[in-house]
Amino acid sequence: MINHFLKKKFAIWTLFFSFVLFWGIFQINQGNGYDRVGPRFFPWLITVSLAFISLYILLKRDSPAPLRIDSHKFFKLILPLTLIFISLEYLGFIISMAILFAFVSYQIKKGPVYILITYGFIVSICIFSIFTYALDLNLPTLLG
Amino acid sequence: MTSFSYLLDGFYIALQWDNLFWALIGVTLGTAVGILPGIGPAMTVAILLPITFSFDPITAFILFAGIYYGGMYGGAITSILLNTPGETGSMMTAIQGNLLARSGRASMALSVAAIGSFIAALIGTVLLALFAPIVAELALAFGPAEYFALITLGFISIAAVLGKDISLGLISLLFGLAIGFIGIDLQTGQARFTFGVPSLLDGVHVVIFVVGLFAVGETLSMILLEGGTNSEIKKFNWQWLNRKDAKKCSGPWFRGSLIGFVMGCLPAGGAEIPTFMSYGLEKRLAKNPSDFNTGAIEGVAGPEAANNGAAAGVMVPLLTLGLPTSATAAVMLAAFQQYNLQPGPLVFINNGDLVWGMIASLFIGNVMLLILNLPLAPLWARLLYIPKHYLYSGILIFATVGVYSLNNSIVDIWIMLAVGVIGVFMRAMHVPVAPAIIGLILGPMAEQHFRRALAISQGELSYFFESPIALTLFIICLLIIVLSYFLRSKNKTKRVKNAL
Repeated sequence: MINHFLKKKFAIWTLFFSFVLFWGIFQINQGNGYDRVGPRFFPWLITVSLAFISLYILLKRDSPAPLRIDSHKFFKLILPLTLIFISLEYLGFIISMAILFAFVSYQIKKGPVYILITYGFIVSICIFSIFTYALDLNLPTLLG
Repeated sequence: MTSFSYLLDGFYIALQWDNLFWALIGVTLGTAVGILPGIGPAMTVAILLPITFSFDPITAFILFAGIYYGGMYGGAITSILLNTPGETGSMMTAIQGNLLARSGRASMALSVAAIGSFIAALIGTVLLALFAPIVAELALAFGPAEYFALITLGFISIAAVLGKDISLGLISLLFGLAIGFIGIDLQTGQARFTFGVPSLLDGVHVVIFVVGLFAVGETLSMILLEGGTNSEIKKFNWQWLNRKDAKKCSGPWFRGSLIGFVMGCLPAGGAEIPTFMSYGLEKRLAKNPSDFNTGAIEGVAGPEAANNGAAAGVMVPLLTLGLPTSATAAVMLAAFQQYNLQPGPLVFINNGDLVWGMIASLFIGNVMLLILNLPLAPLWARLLYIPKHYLYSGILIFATVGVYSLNNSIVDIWIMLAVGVIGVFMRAMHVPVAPAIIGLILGPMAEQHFRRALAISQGELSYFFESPIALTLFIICLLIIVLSYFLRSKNKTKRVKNAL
């Protein structure tokens, strides 16, 4: 599905993006005394250019053949990543990043999960210690 | 006393054992943090500020200078090997450097970067010692019109990174420009493209965008587009530079150093514009521009030298005018204030020991970096031997730490992830990512200077052509466009003739 959408409708999406920007421009207050080149001028210039190039791509030429993205794999990757980043605030850095390490490693190369989790914990504990104790950076901890 | 004798005094200070030790710590630490995406030298210096409070000021500045230069080289390592630049200054190095690494020439690319960094820092430091006050005076002649002309030149230079399909390159550039306008407009205080989200009022930090597009985008692309295997990377050989390659790089090294130094001196120059300009220049001057499709060492030598030249150039306005022109320089200004020192025209008189000691330590730090990194280039290249699944997982963790620590904000991580996903789609659609970052950096700068110039001239566009500097820069822009057009037509005619 994603490939079909990429191949046929990339220009439509960039056009859609330019419409979103148009909407954004109308939300900008022009301000007094900035009639000619105010806060809207450059965003407007960019949005119009983006719309024209999108139309050019849409009407005049074929999009190059995109690389294949498996939609099933895409959502299986992005949804857990989103959950892991959400968990960062609640589970703290060490647990979340250990899960992140194991998850991403597993996505790239399938392997025994317990080994990946162990490595994940070792890496995240090391990074947490370096940044918290040596560099004095505040990383999220378990339950805030 | 002349600058030379002051510099000798500086060497006397910098060559003391304790200062040498801290310079070594600085360059090692700098290289280490430069490797991590999102954690640049500015953040490291800021973190170390409270720790160095009890240090002698000279020692502290020698440490900071070491971190600064070390960070520059560290950024090049991951740019070349993993296509994940730690900061914007290394972005252009990543384009050709990673192509070279993928074709098995990682050691050579790293050597080119190390020597380029050394030459640039050496030239930059000599120029800093000799011409700091003169260059600072020149920099003061730059007003909004001149800056706008300079940024226009930067935009013209980036035509080199738009890729084969110019319309896709322009889409990328416009996307970056649009992202650059998110946040509060500095002149009117109006929110733009925030869509009612308060977290967007500060805009999208360039580091988040770079880390998202490169580090996260690269990792996600590895999984989604390459199925977790990166078959394109060939095993590297241990080959360093041969004489032919060194000869090929000598021009880009010197040109890059000079461009970097001069641009670094300008209060809005920064490290990015000179790398864009150097890359564009080298691509135009290349005997075989087609090499840039497979990996050209000139494309590493020039931008890397420009990046380091700018690092020396940044010291000129910092020391002579008290003007910080980069994030690291701003943190170093804070360091000066920590020791109750005020950089400015009198700093060379009142704190001569400190300033000349620091300038001398820049020489020494660079010699240390070269000694450390030239033999270590093949060892760094072994990073490519770390199993991909561990390497990219680690990169993602470091990217998260780097982005989170910018503002201690989870929202930044969401933005990073979103930009990373966009990066995957851009790669899938063969949309080049570099123009987006260039747009993000240059767009708001161009707008601010354009509007400031119009405000000064009360709306008169002729103001842009009244200044000789601005006029010269615009003429250079025009010449580049005309020359490129003629060269392209000439090549086209030649190709048609050959085909016939």
